[in-house]
Amino acid sequence: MKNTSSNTSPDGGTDKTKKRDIDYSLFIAPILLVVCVVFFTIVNPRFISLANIMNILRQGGPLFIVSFGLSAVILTGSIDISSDGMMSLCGICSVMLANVITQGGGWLSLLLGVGIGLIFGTFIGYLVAYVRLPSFLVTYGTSTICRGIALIISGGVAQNTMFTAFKKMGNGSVFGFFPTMAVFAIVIFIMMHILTKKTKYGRSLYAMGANERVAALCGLPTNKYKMIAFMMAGACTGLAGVLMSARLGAGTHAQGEGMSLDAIAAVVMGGTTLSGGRGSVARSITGVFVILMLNNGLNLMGVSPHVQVLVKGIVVILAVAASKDWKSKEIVK
Amino acid sequence: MQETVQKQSNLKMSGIDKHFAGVQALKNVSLELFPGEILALIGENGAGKSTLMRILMGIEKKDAGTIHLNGTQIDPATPIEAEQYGIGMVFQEQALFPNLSVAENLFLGREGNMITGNFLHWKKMYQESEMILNEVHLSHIDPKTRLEKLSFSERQMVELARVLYPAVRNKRKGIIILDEPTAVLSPSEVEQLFKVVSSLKEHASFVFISHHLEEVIEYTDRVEVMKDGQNVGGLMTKDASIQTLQEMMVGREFSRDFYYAEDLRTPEDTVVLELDGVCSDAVSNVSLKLRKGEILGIAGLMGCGKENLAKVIFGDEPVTAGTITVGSREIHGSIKKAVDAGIGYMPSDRRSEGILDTMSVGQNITVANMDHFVTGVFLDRSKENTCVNEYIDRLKIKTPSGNTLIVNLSGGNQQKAILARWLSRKPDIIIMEQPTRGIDVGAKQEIYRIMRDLADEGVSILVISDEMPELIGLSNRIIMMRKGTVTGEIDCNKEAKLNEKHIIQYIT
Repeated sequence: MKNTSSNTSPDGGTDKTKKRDIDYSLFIAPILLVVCVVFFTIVNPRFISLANIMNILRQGGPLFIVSFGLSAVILTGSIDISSDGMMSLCGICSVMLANVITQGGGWLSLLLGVGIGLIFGTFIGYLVAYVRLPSFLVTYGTSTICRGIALIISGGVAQNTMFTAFKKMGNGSVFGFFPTMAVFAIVIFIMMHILTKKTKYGRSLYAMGANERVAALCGLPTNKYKMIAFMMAGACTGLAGVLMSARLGAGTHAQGEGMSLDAIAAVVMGGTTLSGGRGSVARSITGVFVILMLNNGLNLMGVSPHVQVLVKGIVVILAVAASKDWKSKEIVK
Repeated sequence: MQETVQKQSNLKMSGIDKHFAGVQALKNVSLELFPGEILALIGENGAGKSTLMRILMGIEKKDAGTIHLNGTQIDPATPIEAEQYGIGMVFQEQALFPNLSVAENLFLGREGNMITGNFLHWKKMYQESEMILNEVHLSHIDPKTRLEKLSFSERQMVELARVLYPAVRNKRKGIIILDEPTAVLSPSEVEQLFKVVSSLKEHASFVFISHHLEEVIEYTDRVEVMKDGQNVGGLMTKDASIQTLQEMMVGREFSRDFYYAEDLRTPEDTVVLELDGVCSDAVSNVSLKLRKGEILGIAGLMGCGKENLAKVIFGDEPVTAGTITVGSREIHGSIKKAVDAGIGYMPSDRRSEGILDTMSVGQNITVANMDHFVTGVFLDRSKENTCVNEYIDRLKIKTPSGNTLIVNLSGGNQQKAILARWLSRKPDIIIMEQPTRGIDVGAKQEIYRIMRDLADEGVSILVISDEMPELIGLSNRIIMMRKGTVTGEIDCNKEAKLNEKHIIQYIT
C-alpha cells in the first residue's frame, strides 16, 4: 500500500538525506498480497472478479474495523484481545434491540452496540491505565466476561432478526455494488488515520509506545491517553460486532471467535510492532487483506475448512517472520 | 614504547586496523600491557578505545594487525576464547543477571568442573564463590544472595570477581579491561574499587578506560592516549598532569580554567523557585531559593537524594511535607503542573528517561510542546519544522535533518535535542541532571556554553552533577547534600579559589 519510505517515524516523512536505510520488512505484506492475488487468480480466475472482491470487502469489514481500533492500542505498546467476546455481546444486544423496536431500529441498534463496546473499552482502559493491570490478561478477562453475558442473555441460542433496516447495514450496497460494510470500514480508517497522524493525541500515542516514561516526563497525560486508546478500540469492536450480526441476520454467542488474533496478526504483518511506537493504522490494511484473501481464496479453491485453519496459521507465522526486522537486535519474548 | 620500562610486556597489540562500513575506526594502533600494571586508556568518545578493547575481547574482528600474549600470537574470535587466554572485561553497563544469586552470576556459562552431567555441585560453587569474593574484598557477601539485593558498586565487584576467577583459579596472570567502571560511582566507591584493583595486581594487569582524568592521575601506573582511531602517545602517570592529558586527548591547547566561575553573570534578585521545608521519601526538610538567571549546583554522593530532589521538584515523586513555589504559584505532585509552571527537566539516564528511540529528532524536540503547534485540532507540520530547524541551528545539533531518527545521533547531540525539547517551551527553570554524562569533551564544552548563554538570557538552571569541577565551574552557588538533607551552601563568586575539597567536607 503506502509507507514504503525509509523513515519509520510516525509522520512518515521521508528523509531527504544520503543515508536512507530502507526498512525492507515493510514490503513483505504487500508482496505477500500480490502473491496471494496472482496465485488464487491463476487457480480460479473468478477470484479477481468484481463480485468476489466486493464479497471479500463485505466479509472483511469487521476485521478491518477491529484492526484499525487495535492499531491505536498496539502503537502504545499495549495489546487488546477482547474483541472475540465483545463482538458477540455487542452483536447479540443490537439484534435483540432491533427485534424489540420496529421502526428506524437500524441506527439505534448500531448505537447500542457501539455504546456497549465503548463501555467495556473504558472498563479495560481504566484497569490498564490507572489500576495498572497487564492489558493482555485484562482484555482476555473482559472478552470472557462479555461472552458470558452474551450466553446468559441469549440463553445460548442464536438471536435471529428479519429486520431489513438492520440487516442492510451489513449486507447492503451503495451505488448498487459497493458494500455498505466497506463504507463503514473506510470511514473508520479515515478517522483513525487522521487521529493518529495529524493530532497531538496521535503523536502522543507514538511517544508512549516509544517510551511511556519519557512521554510522562514530557508532561503528557499518558494514563488518560491510554484509556482513550482502549475506548476507541472498544467502540470499533462494538461496531464490528453489530455489522457482523447485521450481515448474518443473527447474533450468536460464537461470533467473533478468533477475531482478536486475526486482527493482531494483520496489524503485525502490516509492520506495526507489538513493542509499540512503530507502525501505522494504514499499514494494517495490507495485513488485513492478506488474511481476507487467504480465507476467500482457499474457499474458492474448495479447500476443506479444517485445512484452511492450518494454512492460515502457517502463513501468519511465515509473514510475521518475514516482516520482522532481522537486523534489529531487539529481544523478542 | 616507554624508555622506563625494561620488563617484558605480557600483552602486545600492534598494527591493529579496523573499518566499519567505510569508516576507519582504528588505524595502525598498538598497545602494550606489562605484568601487574594499571594502564589507563583515554581519549574522547569515538577515539577507538572501546573498539580496540572489543577486538581484544573477540567481540569485533580486526582487519589487520597482531596480538601477542606472552610471546605467542593469539587471535580470539569470541569472548569465550578470550576468556580462555585470561582476558576479561568489566562492562560499563553491568552484564549480570539481577534475578540470580551471586554464585550463579559468578559461574554462569562456565560451570566447568562444577558440573556433572547437567547437575551443579552447589557446595563447591559456593566455596569457590567465597574464595573469589574474598579476593575482591566482598567476604561479607553470602554467595546465595540474589544479585539485585547488592548495591551498584558491589555488583560491579561481583563482575570483577567473575572476570578475575579464571586467572586466580589457574594461577596465572589475567588481563582485565575496566570499561568506564567509575562512571556512576561516588568518590569513596571509586577509592574502594582501586583499593581492590591494586590488591589484585599479582593476579592480573588492568586496562582502565575512563573519562575521569583525576582518577587516571591518582590510580594508574601508565597512560595511553588515543584520538580518532590512532595512538597519540603514552606516558608514565607520574609524569602526567590533567592538563597535559587533556591536551593530548583533544589535540589542542586546552585551558584548565575553561569552565571557570568568573564567566558567570550575577543573577537577579527575583526568586523564581522556592522550596520550603520540602520532605519526601528520600529527602527531608530541604529549603532553597533559585534566582532568575542563576545556575545553582547541587552536589552530593550517590544516594544523597539529589536526584530525588530533582524528581520531587518536577512533580515525579510525591511531596510529603513542605511547599514548592514557582513565581507565586505553589506546585506539587504532578509533572504537568511543573511543566505548565515553566520547568524543564533533563534526566541523567538519557536512554530510558530522555529520548523517544523510535521517533525522529524533530519529534523528540517538539514532544513536550505540542500544544504550541496545534492549529485547530491538527498539528501544524510546517510550524513544527520551523521550530525544529531553529533549535538544530541554535544548539548546533549535528544531524542530517530533523527527520533523522534520534538513535542515529551521538550521545552529545541527543542530549542537545533533549535540551531543545525544553528550550522550545521557553522555560523559566531547567533542572539538569548529569548534563554531560557520557558525552565527549567537545560536546561537554558546548553544553556548558549553552548553559551559560541561557543563564545570561535569564533562565534559571538547577544543575545536579557528580562532577565537582563541572559544578564549581558553572554554578553561582552550590548546595551540598548528604543523606537527604542540605548540609551546606557555598557562594562561588565570593570564594574565588573554591575547589573540590571545600565541597567534599560537606557531602561525606
